[in-house]
Amino acid sequence: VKTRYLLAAAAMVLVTGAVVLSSTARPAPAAVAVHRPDPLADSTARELDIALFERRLREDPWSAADRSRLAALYLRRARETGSFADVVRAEEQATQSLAQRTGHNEATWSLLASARLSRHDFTGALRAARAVMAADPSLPAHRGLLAEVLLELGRYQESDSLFRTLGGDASSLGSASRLIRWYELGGHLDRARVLAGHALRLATDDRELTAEQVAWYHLRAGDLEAKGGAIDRGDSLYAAGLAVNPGDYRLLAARARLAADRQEWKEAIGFGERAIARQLEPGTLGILRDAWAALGDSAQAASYAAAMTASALAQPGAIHRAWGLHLADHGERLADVLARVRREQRDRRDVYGYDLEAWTLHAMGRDAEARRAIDHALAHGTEDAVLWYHAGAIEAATGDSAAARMHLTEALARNAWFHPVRADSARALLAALGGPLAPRAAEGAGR
Amino acid sequence: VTSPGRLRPRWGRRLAVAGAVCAALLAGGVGTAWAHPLHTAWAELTASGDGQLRVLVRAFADDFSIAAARAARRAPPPDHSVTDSVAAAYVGQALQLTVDGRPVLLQLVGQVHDGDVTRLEFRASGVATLRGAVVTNRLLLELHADQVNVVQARYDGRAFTTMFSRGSERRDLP
Repeated sequence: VKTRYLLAAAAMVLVTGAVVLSSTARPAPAAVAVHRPDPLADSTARELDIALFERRLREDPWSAADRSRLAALYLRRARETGSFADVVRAEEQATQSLAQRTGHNEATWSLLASARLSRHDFTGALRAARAVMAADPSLPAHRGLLAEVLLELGRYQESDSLFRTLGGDASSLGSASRLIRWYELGGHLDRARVLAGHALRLATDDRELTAEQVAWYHLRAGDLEAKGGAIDRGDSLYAAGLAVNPGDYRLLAARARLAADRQEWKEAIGFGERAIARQLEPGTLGILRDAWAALGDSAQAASYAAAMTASALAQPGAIHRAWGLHLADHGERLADVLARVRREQRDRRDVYGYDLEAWTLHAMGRDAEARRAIDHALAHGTEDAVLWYHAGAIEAATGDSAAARMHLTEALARNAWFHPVRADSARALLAALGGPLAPRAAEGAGR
Repeated sequence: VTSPGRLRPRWGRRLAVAGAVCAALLAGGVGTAWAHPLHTAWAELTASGDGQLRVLVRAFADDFSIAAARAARRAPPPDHSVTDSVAAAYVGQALQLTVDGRPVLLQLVGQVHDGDVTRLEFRASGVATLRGAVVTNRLLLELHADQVNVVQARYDGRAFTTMFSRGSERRDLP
């Protein structure tokens, strides 16, 4: 088995090398739309398929294959419409399918893991991923799924070991997506950007993907470009994704976020309102609140704040990370946020959980504890301007000026537009600490 | 029965991608909304300027069915269906609009089901503008403590969006 892994790894290194080389020669596309799927036809076909398999299962409830296909269709509709009920249905169908048959049904374990990941049941996803791995550990897809779940759980050493056995295979969209996430979290943002551009080209050339799926690759590529400071390129990718899948609420929300980062408040409101008309998303509510407040409309800002207050902490389970950061930024419900993030950390100790814990503790004035948490968040080497800004602010509060200057400088160098307000705070803090403060235009050269 | 393979030759390929894409959605952050399902209903009010007002309401069919049935003191049907009269009565009491101090009577035009969602259309006349109108939105607030409703109003060549939740159920349109 070891020999087989080594041979496979060698082959995959060549594949990845070719991808990176070709992608380096041809940078991430700002707007690629070779193939334009039809969202309306996609959704019509999806509904027909769902109706077909629901009917077939009424006629033959013992078909494990049909249950698996129906689970996949529910999951797809959940992604396209944001329906949580469909995620639950997908999990139920996948569970029943596996109860009926485990042999020759490995793909259903993957579906089950995906459904559980989607609703943040990480330990449940881990059980499913381990089951599929046990069925055949030689298959890269099985190792990739387990690696991905471990990555989300913050079990980085185990995850890294499994990802390494994949040898960097980026030849398929599924494997490329996982590698992108691994590179992104593991301190290889530029590699993730290159690979996301490659995956986007694969997706736009693939006539079998739905509009929503193609749009998702635009979203990922755009997110990574924006994270790397190339916010104009990121925005172009979002716009190209919207051309493929008009009304995609994730892309509209992403454009709202970028507009807010640039302090273009009216644009942020325009995109944000279009996004929440399709799907109410916690992060977008926060953007709209800040945008209205920046424009001086306190009544509108208050209505969004009330909406967030009504729903942010009324739900059981882990807190939404973007929501938690928004509340910490505003100094609201800090004890609740901290309690929830720490509850989640019983099962999941990942970079962004530690970051939220640290930022909340900092907002509470508990900087020594915040420092310990942010050190955990930084330990994996993730390149993220927001993370570095949080680190810098906490280090400054604990009197470690040298570390603070380093992280604040890194944050602004990586992405001068990382936050609507905090980027300016970083500049001010850096100036107060005596660090170099480059002109904003020069910082934003990545645009 | 038509086999899925014959019906959708590309179907299996899409599923193969779906699993990886779904899991990786966590990376973007926005996909995490699934882990935090927001209870929400959306309404769009459009005053066309000729006195006609169109109101579109979109809500999750199961929630809407339960709320409408409870308001009518009936048992919710298992298929989430709602008769027109029950739907109109519920929306009439939960979504109220006052223009120039006078309540606007909403007439149900029709309702459709699209997957999990119920869409309803209402019309009213004699509403030239929504400027200064008062909107009260209690749709489904009685069901969920975390219910958040969105209203988008279009009038006088502008669009205005605002939010409603428990304790924050009334808004004046600018």
